Amino acid sequence: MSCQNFELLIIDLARNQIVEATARQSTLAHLDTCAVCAQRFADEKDLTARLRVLAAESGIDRPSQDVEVSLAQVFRLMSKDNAVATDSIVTRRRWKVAAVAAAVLAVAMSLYAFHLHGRPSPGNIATKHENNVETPKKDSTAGAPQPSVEQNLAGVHESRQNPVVKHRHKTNAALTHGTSSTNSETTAEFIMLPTAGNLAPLESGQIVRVEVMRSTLIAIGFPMDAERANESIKADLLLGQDGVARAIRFLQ
Amino acid sequence: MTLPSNLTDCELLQLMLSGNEEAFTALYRLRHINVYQFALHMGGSRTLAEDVTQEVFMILIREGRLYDQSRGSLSAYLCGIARNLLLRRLERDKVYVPIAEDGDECAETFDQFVAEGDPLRELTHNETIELVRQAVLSLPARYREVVVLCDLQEMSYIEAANILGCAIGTIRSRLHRARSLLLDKLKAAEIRKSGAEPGTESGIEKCNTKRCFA
Repeated sequence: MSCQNFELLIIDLARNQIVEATARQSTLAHLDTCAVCAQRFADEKDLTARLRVLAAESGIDRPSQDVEVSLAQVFRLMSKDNAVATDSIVTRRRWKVAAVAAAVLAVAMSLYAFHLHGRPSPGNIATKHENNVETPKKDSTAGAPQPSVEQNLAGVHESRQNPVVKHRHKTNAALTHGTSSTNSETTAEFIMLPTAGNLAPLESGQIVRVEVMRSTLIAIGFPMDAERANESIKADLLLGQDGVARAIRFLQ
Repeated sequence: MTLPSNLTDCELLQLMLSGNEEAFTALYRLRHINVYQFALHMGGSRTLAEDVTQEVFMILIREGRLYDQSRGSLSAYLCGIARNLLLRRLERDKVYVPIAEDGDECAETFDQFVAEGDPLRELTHNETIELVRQAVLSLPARYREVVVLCDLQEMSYIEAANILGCAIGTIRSRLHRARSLLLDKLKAAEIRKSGAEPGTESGIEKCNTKRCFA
């Protein structure tokens, strides 16, 4: 074994740590041949002995009893605080659970009411349903067939020539044009919007169910009862390929 | 209610966190000596060691939930906290010059001279201990902590590495360097004591630990 290899093991040997048996033997054999390493090993062993004496001497030293007493007091105080804090957390959690349950119940009831009556809260202009005119789909809520583009466009052209509002009340069974979302819903034919005259011809589009204030319709030129201007009315908007509304039909 | 005697540190900690004072006392009695000894050897002052011990257990009371069993033993966790506190305190107190206290410190000094058996042997023994203590205290902190953990508290390299948050190889190399420094310091102190000047040729020869790299 060289002195460099010995240097790697000297600390472990001097500290009586577990060293592989063959390494230990060769290290101890090296001590017989190298006086410098032997002296260094003796120094290290001496240091280990001194450190052990110091460890043994100071090992009997203990912190005063006051430390334990004061810590126990602190622990008691903090345990009480924690208990109070935990109680308040539990109470708060219960309130939260109750609030969430109430909110869920309210949402469920409003959804149920919506399905029963099919009327959202008045005053909102909300998109209810979208249908691509190019690929007509069945209305999932009503189950009634969606009118084809030709039918819709025919209605628009017809009303363009005669821009008088023609409300045609239909029963669900007698529907030939338009959509009904519930059994009680009746539709009118599409009416050309006054602003749509200068737009590009309609090639494709979408029908969007909206709820509009009567005042808005008065503003764009529809003859409406001014006394009921604050009321909303359900309608289907026909949007062109450019996203601009071309025609409207009213629902009751 | 008396706790069973075979509870592990983790079980005691869980009980303690649920508000069991008895578990806290048991845990304190089991683990405070390690923390105190470490602080005492690192700081060299009983007052500081008591402060650190108290602070470590205060942290355990407040933030015991943060202990992660998979990262090491509770003892190592506590020593790690003690180490951080100590390094902070030592850094802060670096600007102050310690003065000898009266009262307890004096009594301690006089106690050294009360020999029960052989007075000369007792005196030599006390001197040796004091010499080693001073040599350990004069080591840079990164070397001192390794000597304290591995040599004075007889921890394994793995435990020391856990506490200090470094690799086992680092512990080995630091211990190697620390012991070399200690040997040099002890030899220099012995030379001073025997009257030889450490600056003389013979003093230098004696102070430096000889190594052969043949």
